[in-house]
Amino acid sequence: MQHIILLQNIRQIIQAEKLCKAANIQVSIIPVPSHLSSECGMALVAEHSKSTEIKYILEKEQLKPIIYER
Amino acid sequence: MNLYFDNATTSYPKPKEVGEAVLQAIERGGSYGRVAYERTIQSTGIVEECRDAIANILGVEHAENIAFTLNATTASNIILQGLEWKCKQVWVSPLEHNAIMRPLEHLRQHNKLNISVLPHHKDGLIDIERLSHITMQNTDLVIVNHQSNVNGLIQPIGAIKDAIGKTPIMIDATQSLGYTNLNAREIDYIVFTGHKSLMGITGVGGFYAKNSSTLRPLIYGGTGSNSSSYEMPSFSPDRFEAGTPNTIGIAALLAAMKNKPEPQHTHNDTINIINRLTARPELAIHKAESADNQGETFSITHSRLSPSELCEKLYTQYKIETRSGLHCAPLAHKTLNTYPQGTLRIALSPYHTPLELDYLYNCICNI
Repeated sequence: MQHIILLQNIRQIIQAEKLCKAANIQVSIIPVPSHLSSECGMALVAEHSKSTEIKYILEKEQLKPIIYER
Repeated sequence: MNLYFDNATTSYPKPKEVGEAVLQAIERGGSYGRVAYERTIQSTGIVEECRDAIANILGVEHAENIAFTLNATTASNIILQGLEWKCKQVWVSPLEHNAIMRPLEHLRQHNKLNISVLPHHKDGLIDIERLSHITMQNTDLVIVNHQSNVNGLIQPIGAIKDAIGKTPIMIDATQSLGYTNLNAREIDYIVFTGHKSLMGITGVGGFYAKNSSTLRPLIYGGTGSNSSSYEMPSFSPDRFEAGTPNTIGIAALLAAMKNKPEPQHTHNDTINIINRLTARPELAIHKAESADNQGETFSITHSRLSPSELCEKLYTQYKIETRSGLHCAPLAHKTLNTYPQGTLRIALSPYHTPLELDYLYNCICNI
């Protein structure tokens, strides 16, 4: 299973991708799934097993991820 | 030989990596956000890396409080037209550019804003002693041009901030950012451009707002965020970045900051040519009184020739490129007693060598 990570804006997606890569966590950027949000921007997708770690890393940097199961 | 001495208009030449970055950006394609394929992920990442680099130069923690604009003029309009002027009082430094004065004049005419000029010395240096005696409690904003585009004077921002206390301050760093250090932690608003001392290309500027909620947006439109709403997002930078940004120009600006050239002449070389020109009886040099406050720009007036005649002769006889007139800064020229004729302006580049400064000196003397 995978998790979708939504953030406030594009800048935060780029920041989050960088933070995850620095922590050796594999993430990809995908279009925001339309059933989750009306955003026309970017979202991150990561393996389910990494979501707790991702949440911790991002919140430490004052980012507020919203995480959904895919 | 580099005969371009108009770097206060726009810097030239640029680091070679700037042109390479432009070509790479065009060949790569992509935009900013909105989609999730590789070329746009890359160009979006470059925009955010550039925002981080600007934050680093400014010494501020929250890069999201930096918004990119078309230029410094757009940035100053966003701030000045976006602020709520509760007291209707602004103080400006005596060397302001029209990028500040024209938006303020618009506000004076339409919002009854009162504009006062800060106490200053003959060269436009703000008089800290007299400033410290001014009561600022009914002031909305103090605006300071960090480095004059006419005489190159660099204002002591730290001392000014100490003198005005908690009164909000806005710095116009158009000429200075990239050349002079600016510790922005205590500053409320900063406007900048990318194509002068930062050595990027035209078409990219921006501003920093310590607390962006103090500003209403000036431009409304799509941001790729909160897309279901007709209202602008409340958060920065999105609130101030409606529409597609200049990703190519921002890539060029990042390349310029990463490849900043080592100056090929020293500050002493600059002071030396200014002093040698000052010794010429036919010339009056408009500069900072103290070498410590002198940037890489200064102005000249000639006893026999108008600024435009001197400018034309330097170009037609020696191919030396300079700018004459008011430099869009009538307030500065009124302060320096060079209004309405203006001056001939010399604005150096870090690429200029002492030999080229010598050549410039000789050409001016031979006119």
